[in-house]
Amino acid sequence: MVSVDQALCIGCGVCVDMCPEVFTLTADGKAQAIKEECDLHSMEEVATACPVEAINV
Amino acid sequence: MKLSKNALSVLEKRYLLKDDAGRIIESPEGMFRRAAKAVARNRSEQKAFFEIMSRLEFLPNSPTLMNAGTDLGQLSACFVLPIEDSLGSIFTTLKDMALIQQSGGGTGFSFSRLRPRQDAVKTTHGVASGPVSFMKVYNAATDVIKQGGRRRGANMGILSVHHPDILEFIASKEKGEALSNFNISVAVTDKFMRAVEEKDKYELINPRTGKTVEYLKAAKVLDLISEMAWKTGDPGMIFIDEINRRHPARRFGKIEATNPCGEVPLLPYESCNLGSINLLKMLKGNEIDWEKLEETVKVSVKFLNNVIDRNRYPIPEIAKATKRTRKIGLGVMGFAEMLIELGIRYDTNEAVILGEKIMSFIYSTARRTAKRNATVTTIAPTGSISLIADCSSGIEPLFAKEFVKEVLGGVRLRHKLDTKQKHAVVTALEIGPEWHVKMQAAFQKHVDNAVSKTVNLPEKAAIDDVRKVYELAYKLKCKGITVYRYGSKAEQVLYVEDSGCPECRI
Repeated sequence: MVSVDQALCIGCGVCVDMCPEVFTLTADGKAQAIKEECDLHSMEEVATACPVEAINV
Repeated sequence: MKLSKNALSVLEKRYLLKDDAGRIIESPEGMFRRAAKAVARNRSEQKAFFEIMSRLEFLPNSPTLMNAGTDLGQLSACFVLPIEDSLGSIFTTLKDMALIQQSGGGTGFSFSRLRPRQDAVKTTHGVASGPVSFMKVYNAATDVIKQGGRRRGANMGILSVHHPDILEFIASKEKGEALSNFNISVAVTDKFMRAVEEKDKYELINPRTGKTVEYLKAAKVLDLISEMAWKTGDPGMIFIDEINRRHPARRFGKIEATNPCGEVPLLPYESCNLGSINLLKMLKGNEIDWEKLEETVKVSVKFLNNVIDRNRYPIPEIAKATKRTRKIGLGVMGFAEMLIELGIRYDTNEAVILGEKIMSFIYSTARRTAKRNATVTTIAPTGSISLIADCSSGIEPLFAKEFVKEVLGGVRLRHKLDTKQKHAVVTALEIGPEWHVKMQAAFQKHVDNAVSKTVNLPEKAAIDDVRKVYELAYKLKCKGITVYRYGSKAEQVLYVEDSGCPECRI
């Protein structure tokens, strides 16, 4: 299960930039996962790129 | 390597190493080799760093070019120092400021913790003189240091909109020469901006006691900020709550200040080193070369990350704070000229969408390459390095179709634009202020530090136009905003050329 820790997320959008199919920004400006994978990058790679380590794979 | 006349003249005057007699002892190529060698960890990095710099595809901030591989070895452009409410702290930081400026760095401070003017001083049974009086002391010290004549001494002074001395602060640069080594910005809160919208009052709080001492009408204060900015260009505003909401290293504390041009919000004692990719060099015919851009971003991020370990820090506190968060700031320059080459006018949705696409690409690529770097992107003003790369600065539009630039030492440089895409040429003063702000906001979405951008207004602009720019910037979630009305400073950096020199006509 891919999930984003809402308390840690700062809404920088790097996950949305990397995998727009999986991640979206919610109305309060935080990221949310709506799918499990995308073609562009592995979820591990996205989790590593997150500056606040808010993505759990 | 090919350099423009302007680039050579700037390099000779300020960057290339000289001997004791003032004779230049290195070539521009030698300078890039020196920087590449000082920053690289191995031969292959050294080769890659030299290549991107000597091809003018990427340039680091000026202190890296000037000081890498020299005895000084201080490579960062941006610093923030803390000021606590005591004489000891005020003058310790003044000394630290002097050391940083001597090494070519710019310094930012929040004066918000200082007790207001006329407040009690227990030890002497006297009264306090307030933040603005100490800013004058800092300003005088900067005058004396003058950074060895190579870089202008630059400071950012910030005061919270809730500080009791805020009105004095807002007007502190009204008189010609006052605080000439400072940019000043008001740190405004969401609470203040809400009060503006609801035509409500907000509170002034004495930082020493934490008690509310007075209420002001928020709209009146914003009016005064707008009026002063209309008159002199200062103050700008920083949106401090937005900065802290989106600060990746927020577990280490609250940000209160930025560097001199506002593009890097930092914690106390943090420094940040910056670099910019020249987008003009990322074109393949009439399109963007995404593969080349990706490769350039990767090498640039490695370069900036290495700088953190190779840097000689002016004081130990800065070494510690900088290595804790390892902030770097990769950005772009030549954006406006790239748009022109692609035949896209700056003041169009197409340009804004492309700006966002480029920055989103750079940000995600930089994040994947980064190593424990709390921040990776910044849009810097690139004042000097864009002259070396011979491209438009940062994400600013062209200032004019022909203009001269005054740089340190009184050199007058003529900028020449040579393009077939004349229909896409549009200058800063022709572009509506809302497009300036929209472009800034588009880049900010993918920048984890901040964006340096000046909203240029024509001389005939009204005070209310300034106010609208400030409100729009907040609405679009910018982290700060600066305006400049043409002719409103006695000494400005860029002038529209009026001599009508035919060789620089496009």
